[in-house]
Amino acid sequence: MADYLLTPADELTHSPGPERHFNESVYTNAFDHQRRFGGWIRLGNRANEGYAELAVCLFLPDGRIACQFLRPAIDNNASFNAGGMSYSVERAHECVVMRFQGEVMLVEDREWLRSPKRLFERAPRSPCELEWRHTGCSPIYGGAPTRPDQQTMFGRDFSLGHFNQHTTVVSRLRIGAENYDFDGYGWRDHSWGPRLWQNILFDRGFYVSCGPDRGFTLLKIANQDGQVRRAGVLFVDGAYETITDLDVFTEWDVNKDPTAVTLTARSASHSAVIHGRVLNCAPLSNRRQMGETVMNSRIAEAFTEFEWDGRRGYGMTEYVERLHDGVPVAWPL
Amino acid sequence: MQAQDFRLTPHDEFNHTPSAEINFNESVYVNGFDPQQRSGGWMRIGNRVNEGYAEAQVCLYLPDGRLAVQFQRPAISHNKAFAAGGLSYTVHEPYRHVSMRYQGDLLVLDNPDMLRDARRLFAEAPRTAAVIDFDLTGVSPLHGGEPTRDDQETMYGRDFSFGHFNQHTRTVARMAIGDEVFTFDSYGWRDHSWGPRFWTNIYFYRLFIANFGPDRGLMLLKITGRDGVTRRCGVLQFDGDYEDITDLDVYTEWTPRKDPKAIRLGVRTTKRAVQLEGEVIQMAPLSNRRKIGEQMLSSRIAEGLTMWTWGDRTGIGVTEYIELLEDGQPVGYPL
Repeated sequence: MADYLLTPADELTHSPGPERHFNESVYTNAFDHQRRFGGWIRLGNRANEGYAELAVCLFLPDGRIACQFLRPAIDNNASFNAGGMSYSVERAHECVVMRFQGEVMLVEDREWLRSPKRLFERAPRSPCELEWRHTGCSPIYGGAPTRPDQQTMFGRDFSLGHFNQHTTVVSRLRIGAENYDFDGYGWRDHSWGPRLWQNILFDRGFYVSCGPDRGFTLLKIANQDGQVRRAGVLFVDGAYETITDLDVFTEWDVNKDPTAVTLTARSASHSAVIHGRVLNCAPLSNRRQMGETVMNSRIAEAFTEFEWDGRRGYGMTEYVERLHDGVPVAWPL
Repeated sequence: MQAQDFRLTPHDEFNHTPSAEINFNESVYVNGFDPQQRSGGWMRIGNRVNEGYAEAQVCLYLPDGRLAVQFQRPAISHNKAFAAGGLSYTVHEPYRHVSMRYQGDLLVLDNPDMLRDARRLFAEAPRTAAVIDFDLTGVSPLHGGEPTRDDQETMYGRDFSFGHFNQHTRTVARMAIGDEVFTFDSYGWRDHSWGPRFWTNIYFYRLFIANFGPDRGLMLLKITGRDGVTRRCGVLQFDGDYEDITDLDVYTEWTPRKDPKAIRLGVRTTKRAVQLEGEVIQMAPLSNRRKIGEQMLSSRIAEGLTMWTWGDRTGIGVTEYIELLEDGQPVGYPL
């Protein structure tokens, strides 16, 4: 952790760099471990491009996905507040609250998420009120790199500054007339710096809580140079242990989305064998024109149940990867 | 590991001048396996001339499940040849053709677990006269050599082998054990290493060597040092060529005795990403002990005959898990 600098001021927004694609984003996820549902929300300010990326992705108990993806206009990076979504820091490093008030689309067939046009034109909509109050139950991992040669977790061309934390969550969630309130567990991150989603050649990320004292943040990633790196932490007995190794095995469905994962991770103190079963998957995507080239990435967001030494956990399996001729570049690994 | 990182000449097929370290080792290893009979094995001579002996090892997996083994430390006084304890190694044509012969007694084991107790093994195991011939012809490029830069990491680490090269081969074997004769004309692998070596310098590693015919094979290593740093290296042989790997994931299923029984591999090169599944069909649970200063270090050396599936191809080879034992437990387990 000596490689990163983190201050309470980093909980707030930073002065944007000059890069056109400067991004500052906050992401939180939260899951009800009893009823096995939950999801994630994200707000990414792209002040130099004049908009924010707003995303809501909730996996409901009946299998439907309640989601929203907007690009509300913004003209500054002074706060996280756009398109009905807001983020406030109640106590730095301890408590944050993320809210969304607006419409969500209710998707019964997740394949609709592969076709944004059909999704936005035809998906039924319902009002949504969401408030997630996250209280940290772990240390904070990450910050801004302290050395010019210091690699950052997701790569310097994806996020220069980045920190994350496991949390307990008090969730107030209403969709239409349905009450989905729960007390559960989750994870949050905050990133700033230049970001193009396509700068990740591929990654396999796992952001999971197994309760107030156990969880993991595990990432296997290759940036543009194709070199594979492994990063993250095991959260054991309330403390973070930086991993020294990670292996990932994935089982796939016919659409090349993950259905099950096996992870083995090592820290200086522990060896972990973790099995995950995907309960639902949102097959998202990102498209970006760079000069004359259009680059596409798939972003498979899989709500996953994990088992680690008899402890059950819930969280997100996130596979971001470029598409070449429509095929994910890292598949089948 | 890239080709320009290593220097190899035909002279490297022969013995090198020993360096001053007491634990200087120069060793040759050959293997060959028959996928039809699900049998084969490996032989090794490791000259430790500065310690006055060689490590001479034979480990054969017979078609009926028995093991035929020998482990000796015959005295040697020079490093000019590989010939000790009934084992001998001949380079017929550098890079192309080598052979190894063993002539002497083998211990024939119905129960491989006898290998866990060396004293009992040598006291009780039945012995049979044997003549074993492995004739190896290269079917792949050579991989490795001596590092060309001071900061160039070697495959197994500089404290295990300074120079090292290896090659997939066609292996023609004749194994005469007592009045039984086993033969095959199949495939295998060989290596040649030189430099200081303690087996116990390896904290833990997982090594996979296999052939899937003359044009396809693998040699994959995941190795972790005492500093906790893990490296992945090796090659896939595909259409006869070697492709250095860029990534390797390993998942092991274990027996109750903490030996590997099944393996999944995910391997990436710049040209392909492949998944392989292996099943260990016979295990030779070996070990090594070495006193260093006042400390007695012990390592397990699990040598598993392994059947592999790579897409529509079936392969066979050896899975080798070396790792230190701490309080009797392998330090890399369960990963």
